[in-house]
Amino acid sequence: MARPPAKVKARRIVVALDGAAPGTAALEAAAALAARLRAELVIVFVEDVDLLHLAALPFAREIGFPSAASRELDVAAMERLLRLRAEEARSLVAALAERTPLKWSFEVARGPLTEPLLAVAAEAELVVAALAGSERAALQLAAICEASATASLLRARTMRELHALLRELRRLAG
Amino acid sequence: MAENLQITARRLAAAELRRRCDLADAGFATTDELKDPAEVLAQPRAVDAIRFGVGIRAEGFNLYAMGPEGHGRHTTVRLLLDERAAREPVPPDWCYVFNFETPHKPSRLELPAGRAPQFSQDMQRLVEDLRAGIPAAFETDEYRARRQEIETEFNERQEQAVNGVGERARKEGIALVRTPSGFAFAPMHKDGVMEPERFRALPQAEQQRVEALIAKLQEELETVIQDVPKWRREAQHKLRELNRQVTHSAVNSQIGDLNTKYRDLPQVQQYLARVQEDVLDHAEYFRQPKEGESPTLFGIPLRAEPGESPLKRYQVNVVVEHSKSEGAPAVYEDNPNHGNLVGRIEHIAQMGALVTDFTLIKAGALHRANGGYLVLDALKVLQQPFAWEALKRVLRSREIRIESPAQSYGLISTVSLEPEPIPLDVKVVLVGERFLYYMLYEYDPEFRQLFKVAGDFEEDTERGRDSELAHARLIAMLARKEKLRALDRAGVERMIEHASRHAGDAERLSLQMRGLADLLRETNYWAQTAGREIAGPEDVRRAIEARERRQDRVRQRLLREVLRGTLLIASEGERVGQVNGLAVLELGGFAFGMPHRITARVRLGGGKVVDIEREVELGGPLHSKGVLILSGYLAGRYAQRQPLSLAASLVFEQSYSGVEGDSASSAELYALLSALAEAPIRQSLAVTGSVNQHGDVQAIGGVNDKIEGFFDLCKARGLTGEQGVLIPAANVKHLMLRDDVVEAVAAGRFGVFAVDNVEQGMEILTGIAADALNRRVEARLTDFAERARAPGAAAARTKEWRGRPQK
Repeated sequence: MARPPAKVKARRIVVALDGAAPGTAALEAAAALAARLRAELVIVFVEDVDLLHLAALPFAREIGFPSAASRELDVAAMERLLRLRAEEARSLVAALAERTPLKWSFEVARGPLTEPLLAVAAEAELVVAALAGSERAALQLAAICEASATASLLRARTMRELHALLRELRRLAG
Repeated sequence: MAENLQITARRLAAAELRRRCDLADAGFATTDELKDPAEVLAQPRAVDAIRFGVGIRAEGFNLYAMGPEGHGRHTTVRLLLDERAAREPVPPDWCYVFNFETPHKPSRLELPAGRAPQFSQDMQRLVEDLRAGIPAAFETDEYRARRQEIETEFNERQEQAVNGVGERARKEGIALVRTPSGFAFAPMHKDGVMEPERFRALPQAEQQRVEALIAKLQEELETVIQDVPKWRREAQHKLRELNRQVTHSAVNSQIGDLNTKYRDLPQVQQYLARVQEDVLDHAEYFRQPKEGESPTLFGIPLRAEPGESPLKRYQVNVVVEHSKSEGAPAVYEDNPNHGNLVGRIEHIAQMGALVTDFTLIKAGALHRANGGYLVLDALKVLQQPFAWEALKRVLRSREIRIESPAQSYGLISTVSLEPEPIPLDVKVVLVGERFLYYMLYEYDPEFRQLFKVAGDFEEDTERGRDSELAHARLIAMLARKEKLRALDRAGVERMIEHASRHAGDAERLSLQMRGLADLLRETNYWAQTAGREIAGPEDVRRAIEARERRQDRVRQRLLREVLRGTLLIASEGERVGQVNGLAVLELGGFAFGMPHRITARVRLGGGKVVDIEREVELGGPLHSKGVLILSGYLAGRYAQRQPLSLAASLVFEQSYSGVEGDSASSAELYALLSALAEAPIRQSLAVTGSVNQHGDVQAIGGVNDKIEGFFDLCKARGLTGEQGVLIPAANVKHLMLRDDVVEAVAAGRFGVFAVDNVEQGMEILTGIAADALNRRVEARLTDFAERARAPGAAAARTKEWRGRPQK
C-alpha cells in the first residue's frame, strides 16, 4: 500500500470495489469525501475472473458465510450475482448523489483492468481499493499508484482493514 | 252562658300565652358586645358521641351524625374534627411508582409527610441527569476504544480462523476464494484460479486428488465458520457487559446521592435499587432521540404527548401529599361518587385506543383523608351508584383498592391497571337524616358493624337563662361571621322568642341553626331597607311576617273562602251537634291552623259511632283510633248498665282530603255529647285536644298555629270578646302566640281556655253545668236503650227510619 496522504486536494477519487462487504462502506465514505472536496468520483466495479473460473469448475461449491451452508456454483448464477452486485453499487451511488451534489461515473471491469481505466486511476489523487478478492486488479492498482506522481492508494481487503480505511477517509474529510 | 255556672276551666291570662325573653340583666345593648359561644350549642349528646367516636381507636367505630337538616350537624362535626385533627400527627405521603417486575400492578410507596413532592422532583432530576450523563459516558474515547476492541477481536478471530484454512489450502496449491456470499476453494494456477479448460486437461488422477482435497478443505472451513455465530454471541455479550459497566458508572454516582438522601427510608432505597437495575438494562432509553423526532405513522405522531417516553417509568406519581398540612386531615367530599371516593385510573386516547399507566392514577377522598377523617353526606353516598358498596368494602378491608366499578363487578375483563392497595386508617363520619340511620341499621347488616357510633342531634333544648344567653351569643357570632348588622337587645330577645315558637314550646328553644341564620339575614335586609344601622325587634318582626306573607297563599285563600261563606265556619251563634275543630296544614315548611266544622248526628241504633271519614277512607288510623276511643268513653261513662243503643255519625264537614291525627277527638266528642244532650254549642269557640277513654283532654301538637288560625278568622270577622279557643291544659306550656293574639287576650277580646277534661270543655261550650249535661246525656241514652229493648223496637226503628226523610 502506498503511503497514505497527509492531506488531499483531490480532483478525482477512484473507488474500486467487487461487490464484497467492505466495498459498500468504503464507497459511502469515499462519496462523502468526494462531495466535500467537490472531487469527481470514479467507481470501478471489478468482476473477479477468479470467481467466474471457480464457478465453471465441475465441483465448484461455495460455503456460505456466516451460515456455513454449502451450495453448488454455476457460471450463469455467478454472472447474475455479479451483475446484481454491480447494480446495487450503482444505485447506491445514484442515491448518494441525489442527497449531495456529486459528479460521478460508474464502470464495470472484468479481469485485469484495461489501460484506459488504469490511466484514469493514475491521474486521480486518491485511489480506494476495497476489493475482497480480485487480487490481480488490486495489484494493478497498487502498481499504478506507485508509479503515479499524484495518486495515493488506500486499500482494504478485510473488515479490519476497512476500519482503518474508513478512519482514514473520515480524517481526510475532516 | 248561664250566670250561676261556676266555670272550672281556666281562662288564660295574656302573660301565659307567650313566654317573653328578657335579657335586660345580661348587660349588653347590641350583639357587638357579646362574645362567641364557648362551644357547640346545646348538643351535649351528639357532641359526646362524636368525641367518643372520634377518640376511640377500634375497628368499625365510624360515626353517623344524625338529625334533621339545618341543625348544624356538618358544622359541629367539622368543628370537632378540626379540633381533634389539629392535635394529631400528619399522616404519610403516598406515591405510585412503576412496578419493574409486573408493570400492570403499580407499586405504592410510603414517604413521611411532605417528602413525596421532593422525592418526585429528585427522580425527575435524576432522569434528566441520566439523559445527559449516560450518552456522555458512551461518547468517551474510552468507551469507543473498548467497544472497537471487542469488535476487532471478533473480526480478527474470524479472519484468522478463515485465513488459517486458507493458508493450509495454499500449501496444497488450492486457493481460498471469496465469493460475494461466502468462500470457495479452487485449484490455483499462477496467481489466480485455474481456468476450467486447464483443469479438465489435467490427468484424471490429479483431478480426483484435487477434488478430494477441496472436499476436505470445505469440510474444515465449514466447521470453522460454524463457530462464528458463537463468537459473535460472545462479542455481543462482552459489548453488553461493557455497556452495563459504562452505564453503571454514570448511574452509580447519581443514584448514590439519592440513596444517601433517603437513607432513612428502606422502601425508597429498595425502589432506587430497582431503578438502578432497570436503568442498567435499558440504557438505550437514555440514548434515544430527543423530542421532536418521535416516530410517526403516516405522518401522525405515535406518542400522544411529548413527555410520553420510555423514561416515564421513572416518574413518581404523588397521589397524596401533606407538605402543607398541619395535623391529621379532615376532608369533606361534597360529591361522593365512586371515583371521587376511592380514586380512579384515567386514560389517554392514543390512535383511537385508550391507554393508561401508573402516572394516571388519581387519588380519591379516602386517600386524602387517610390517617384522619372523612365527612360524607349519607344521602349523597347512597344516591351515587356503587359508592356505598365501595365505601363499605374499603372500610372492611382497611385498604384502598382503586378499581373501576366495571372492574369490581367483573363486567370488563380488559385489565388496565391494578395498583397496589394502600393501607387505610380513616374515620368516616356520615351525616344524614335519622330515618336513613334507622333504615340502614335495619336493612344493611354491614352498616351496624362499620358505623358503631351514632351522634344524635337534638331539635331543641331546654329554655332557660343560660340557654337564652348562649343563643344570644350564637346570634352575635353569626352576625359577625356573615358581616351582618348588629342586633340590639330587644331584637335578640325577639329572635329567641321566635326560636321558642319554632320549637313549638315556650319552655324549649329550637336548635335549627339554618332557620336562625336565615332569619338573621332577613332581619339584616329589612334593617337595611329601613336604613337602620343596628337591627331591632321591628326588623325581626318584619322578617318573620314577610316570610309568612311569602308563604301563606293557601292560608289566605282558605280564609277568604270562609269569609265569603263558601266554607261554612260559624264564629257566632249556637248549634246542636256542631263544633269548630282545628286542624293544622303544612305546606313547604309553612304550617298554619285552620278551623273545620265537625258535626255529629245521633239516633237509636246498635251502639256504633260511625266515623264517616273512615268509611270513605279519608281518615287515617290515628283519627279512627280517636273516634273509637270516643265510643269507649261514651259506653264507660254513660251506659255501664245498659247497652249503648246509639247510632251516631261524625264528620269533618267540607273536608275533601285526608284527615289524620287524634287532635280533633275532643271536638268530635263535644259534638256528639251536644247532639245527645241536645245542648247547643257556642260557635264562637273552637276546640282542640285529644281525649282518652276517661274523658281527660290530652295534649296535641301545633297548638299555636291552631289558636292563631281561629283567631285570624275571628279577627277578620271582628273580635267580639265571646270568641276563644279551648286547648288541653297540658298544652299551656307550649304557648308562644303572636303578639296580636296576646294583645287581644289582654284586652279581653279573645279567650284561650285550658281544659283538663271533657266536662270542663262542655261547660264552656254549652254554658250548662256538667252534672246537668251528664244527666241529659244519660237520659237520652237510657231512652235509646229502653226503646231498643222494648218489644216492637225493631218496628219502631223501621218507622223512624222511614219517617226521617220526610222531616
